Amino acid sequence: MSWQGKVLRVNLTKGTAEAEPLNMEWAEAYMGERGLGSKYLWENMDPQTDPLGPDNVLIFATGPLTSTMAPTSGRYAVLCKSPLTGAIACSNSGGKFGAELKFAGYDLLLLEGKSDKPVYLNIVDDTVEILPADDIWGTTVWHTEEWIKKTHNDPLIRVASCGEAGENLCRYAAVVNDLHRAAGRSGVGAVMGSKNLKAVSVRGTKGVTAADPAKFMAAVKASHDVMAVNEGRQELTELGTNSMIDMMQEFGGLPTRNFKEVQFEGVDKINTAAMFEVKENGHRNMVTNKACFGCTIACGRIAHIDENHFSIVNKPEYKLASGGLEYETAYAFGPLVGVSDIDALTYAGYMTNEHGYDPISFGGTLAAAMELFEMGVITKEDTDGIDLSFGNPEALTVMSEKTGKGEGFGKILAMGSKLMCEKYGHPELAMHVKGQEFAGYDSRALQGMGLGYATSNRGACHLKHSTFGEDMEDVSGNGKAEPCKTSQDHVAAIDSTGLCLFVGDAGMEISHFVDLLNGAIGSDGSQWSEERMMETGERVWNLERRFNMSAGLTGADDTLPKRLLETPAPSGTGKGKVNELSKMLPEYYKLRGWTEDGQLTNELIDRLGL
Amino acid sequence: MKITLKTAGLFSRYLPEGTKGNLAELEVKDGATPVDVARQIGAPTDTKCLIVVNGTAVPPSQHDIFTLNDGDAMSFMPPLKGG
Ligand code: SF4
Repeated sequence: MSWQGKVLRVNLTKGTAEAEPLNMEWAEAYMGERGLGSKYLWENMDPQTDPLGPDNVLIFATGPLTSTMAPTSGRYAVLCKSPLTGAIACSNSGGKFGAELKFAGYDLLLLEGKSDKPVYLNIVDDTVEILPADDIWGTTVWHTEEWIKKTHNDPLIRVASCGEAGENLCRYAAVVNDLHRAAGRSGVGAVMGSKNLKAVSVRGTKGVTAADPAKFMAAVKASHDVMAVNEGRQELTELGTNSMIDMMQEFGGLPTRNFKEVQFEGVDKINTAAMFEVKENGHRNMVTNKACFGCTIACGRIAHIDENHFSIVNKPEYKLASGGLEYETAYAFGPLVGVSDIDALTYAGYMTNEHGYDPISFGGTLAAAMELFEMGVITKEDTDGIDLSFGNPEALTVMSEKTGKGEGFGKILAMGSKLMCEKYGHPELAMHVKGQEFAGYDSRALQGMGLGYATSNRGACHLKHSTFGEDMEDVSGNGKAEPCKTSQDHVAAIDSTGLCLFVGDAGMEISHFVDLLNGAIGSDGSQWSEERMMETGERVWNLERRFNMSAGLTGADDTLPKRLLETPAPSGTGKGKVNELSKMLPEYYKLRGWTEDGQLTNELIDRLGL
Repeated sequence: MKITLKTAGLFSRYLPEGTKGNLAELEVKDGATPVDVARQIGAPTDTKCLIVVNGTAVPPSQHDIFTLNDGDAMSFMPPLKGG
């Protein structure tokens, strides 16, 4: 149990919505969320499909633990072929939407085709309607959510929508739910927009059941107990993920000014201490923390902007408290573009949530544009009169709004760094893997991170593996392939459960997941174990890879930008080093059982039953 | 000998009482290792913590071997992780 046993298949071209049984054989082999969603994607579309065409399939997938009493059980993943990378996109989000979808009776929502006019999908348990979205098309995520709740006269409806960024096909548009939780990466929001689907709204009243309630609740308690006393959990609760910015600065792995540097002089103005600092006028950036469904960590930040800040003069609507800085947002709007004005960063964060796009890719693209501006390749004539120098807070606030709304130079920034830099004849300035921009870890100081970035199936991503321990130990490519591979499989398994990856930083071990799964899904002869979880993770990883290879990617795409491979880090722990990818990659391919050029072998496909 | 100690995040609670901000001067024994310093201030001696001395990280396996010198600047912070 803990599965509802149902998939909702919606065809937007035909205007049909039908429930079908969940394929339990696939659920056994791929678990749920990321894994099961990948399997449904693989079986339901041609990987060579145009990502912004009607034949791309968009999936909202929950996991077996989503909506249960397990900690952090609000997660769901959005999957499709990415318009940013041409590879598989799998982006997960918290909030309450995922749990609500499951409460309505569905494990997975699969959307095919394209509506001929703007619509939204409204799900109330077994009643599913495709409704006109004329009143909300062209409006923000925030307005859409409010309008749907008002129109249906139900404040408890959960909404996931694409903002104007998704409608305008910004290559890194997000699907945002519950105002400021997002399936942020790889452009899943643009695929939603390309289908003329503005939103999915859900209200569910069915609840879920655990197969063995006593066993399950014992596992829930054990998970909560370990997190309650864990220092990592305390740090996430009290300081949020942005506490990492001080550590990366100290280590010398904080990408600064489009990766020209690895340490940022303005870090003290945007770190957690700055978020908590009470200014002379009594303003403090940080308001409170916030949790997703069923989460006792509550790493989310709620912040507000100083009412005297230039970004919100004459904009009273932004005086409200809303989603605040997390590490990746702080990095991408701070060091990466050289800005140290905390209110400007917070404002840009509001823009990403309100208009629905990925802060990491936006920051990476803006940083590349700033370098083009510095070189004189683009001028104020291109940038709507805005001085795009590194460090200019106005460049950040104005461009974050223009990108969200698809106006002026914002349309160029919405292309992502790869296409934008190609357009201006400087592809070397785009800091990306497979078209997706980097998270806030420089892979000259963190070598294993570089291997993880290069081989991640969705392009540069820090959340698909973990080699921090090894990277702290040794700044070289030695011994990084094995922990990279193993942690990729581990993360793929955790991402397939329906829980948040952060529970690992808060003290939960893989054994906790095994107990939760066995209590929730039950003992129908197929018990979960650590070995089975790791094998499932390996299966998921290889299926994603197979999708990418079928889409036309090759081993040549497992690479890093020249700047990281050829220009030594100027300071910090990795001073004088470049990333040693050429040493790590062959070792990694061998461990994966792939050919020398990174292809899956038939033997591997058979062994994993792909 | 004296070192400067810099912390971040929740580790600031281990700084000597009365410290303003996240920096303190600390008298430590000659030849102290980072683990000795952690012990002295009542902090976890968990080798996974991030220790940076004069701008370069000390590998966790060296935390109880690396010897500090008079005037060193040591940062003592929670371990690196994803965010
Ligand atoms: S740890 Fe943070 S992101 Fe994860 S579920 Fe809890 S509040 Fe949401």
